Amino acid sequence: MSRTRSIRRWVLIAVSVGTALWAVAQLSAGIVITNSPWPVTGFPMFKNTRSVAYHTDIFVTTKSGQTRQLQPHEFDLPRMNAAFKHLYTTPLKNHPPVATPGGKERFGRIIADWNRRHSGDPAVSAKLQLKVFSLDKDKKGVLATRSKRISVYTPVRWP
Amino acid sequence: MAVIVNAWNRFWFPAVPLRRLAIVRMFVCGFALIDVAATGYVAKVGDANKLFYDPLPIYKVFQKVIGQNANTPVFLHAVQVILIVSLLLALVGFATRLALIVAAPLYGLWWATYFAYAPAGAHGRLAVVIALLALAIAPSGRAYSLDSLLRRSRRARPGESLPAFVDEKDRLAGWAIRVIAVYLATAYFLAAYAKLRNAGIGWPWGGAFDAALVEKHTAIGSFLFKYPWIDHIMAGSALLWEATALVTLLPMSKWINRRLRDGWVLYGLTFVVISEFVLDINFMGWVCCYVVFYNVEIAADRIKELAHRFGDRFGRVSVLYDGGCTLCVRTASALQGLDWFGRLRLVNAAADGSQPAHFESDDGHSRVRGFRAYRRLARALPALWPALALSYLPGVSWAGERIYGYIADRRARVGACAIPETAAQPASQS
Repeated sequence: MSRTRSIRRWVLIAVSVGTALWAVAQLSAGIVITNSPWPVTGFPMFKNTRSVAYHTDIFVTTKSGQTRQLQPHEFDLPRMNAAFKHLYTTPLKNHPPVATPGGKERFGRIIADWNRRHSGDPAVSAKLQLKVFSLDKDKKGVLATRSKRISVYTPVRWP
Repeated sequence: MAVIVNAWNRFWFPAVPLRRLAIVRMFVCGFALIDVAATGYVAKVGDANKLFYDPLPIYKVFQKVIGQNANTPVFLHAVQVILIVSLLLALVGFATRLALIVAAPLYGLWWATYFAYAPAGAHGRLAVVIALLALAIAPSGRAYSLDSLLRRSRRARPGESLPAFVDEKDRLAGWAIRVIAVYLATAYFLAAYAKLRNAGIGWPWGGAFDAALVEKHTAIGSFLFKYPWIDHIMAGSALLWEATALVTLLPMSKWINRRLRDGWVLYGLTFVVISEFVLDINFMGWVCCYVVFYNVEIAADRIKELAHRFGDRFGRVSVLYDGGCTLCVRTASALQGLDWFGRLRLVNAAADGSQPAHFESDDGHSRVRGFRAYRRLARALPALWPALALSYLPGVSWAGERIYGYIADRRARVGACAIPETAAQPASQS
């Protein structure tokens, strides 16, 4: 019985030490790292003020002349956001987006992957399109009328 | 020093009923089980081009351990199957600790894999990983589980009354619940801190919520975007809610603290629904962990009361067992644990002076023995309904009678059974 108690005492001490370390890591990460939700801290997304919002899409024109908007399942991805990463950047706040240094080459590889999966009717041209919505202080009106404030950019093209 | 240690122990290691922790286990494992079963598409990312692969640092650690196969569809499907089995075992509480030790890292791996190919939308699962880890360390399988049922059944001794149900308290159970509660409260609070640090008090008007409405592009979100004042109220109330998350850690002995917690939780539930339909973000993992904020065993007692009242409408089934036989008392003890609706009246026939078979079931109209008695019991106990369905398969009845007879014939050799061998033969209805 005393042996069980002794083991339990050591278990509680070990758990206490682990808890202290975890609590310090959780609080420190939450205070210092505010740009990544994994693995320790919570969910700091939406933390910044925003003056614009984006709709990002990839369009291809295929050999048969069809224009298609690419979907995540065509790449076996759950969402398209992984495909948009590292392709474009906005060098200055509210300035038009431009391709990253390796963006064009990466875009070419993405389209090559799509062509491999759609060899029957491959893409002959492709573009990354960004619709930029202005979110200025004048919030009157509906999305449709605010479309006057929508700008469309094509920072990356293929070939 | 002693004051600090005492305060530490009071906060982190309060003795709470094991039943409370068990209910938390069932909530968390139930959610994780449905979640993994419904997200088979995560395994599909194994077919995606490695061009899109952008793992988290913690995932790289996994990959070093597992090797390059970590990303293949075969590996990910195997992970899904192991996860479903281990979470199912943890849910019913069979080999609970082992099941949770397996499930916790694999559930983390599952969503870290998703995150490596879709860097958003998996935030709700991190709370579940933390909860599974805490549950694996704590004695979460010591109540409302097959493990506890078997343990209690092993404690049953011939000649003694069946072991009583003891509502045990445990400090490690309190620790696990506290860890999950602290994780939730600090994560929400730090989310508010991140917003206030980056955007200041004007965050609700700063466009972050508007941008989310536009970018997520849901039907309801696009509609709400027309009314900026609604967006700002929603953003402002969400910020206030996050910033006040620490109210959930206040001592709940005070009425006002309980009401604050209830208000906070109620808003949280509303927020989750809004997030799902307006922003297409799933926070269900966090919500299923809210169960740690409540003394849920009290609710379990009320449900049990109601269940017994409901069970009374269907009448009781008398079960006569031999209290002098180890196997019989163990079985009776296990049946008592499965009797959620209070349908059974367990009678120690040896003490009663009657001559039962090893198990007789009597529902007031007819009396059956042996395998048929088990079948009637299975009908009365919802926990055994899966077995009941199996018992009607062709040949099962025949095999069941023989297996019952085989075991019954041999139980006397242990020397613990007072019933004559002849009574052990399966009997037809009388």
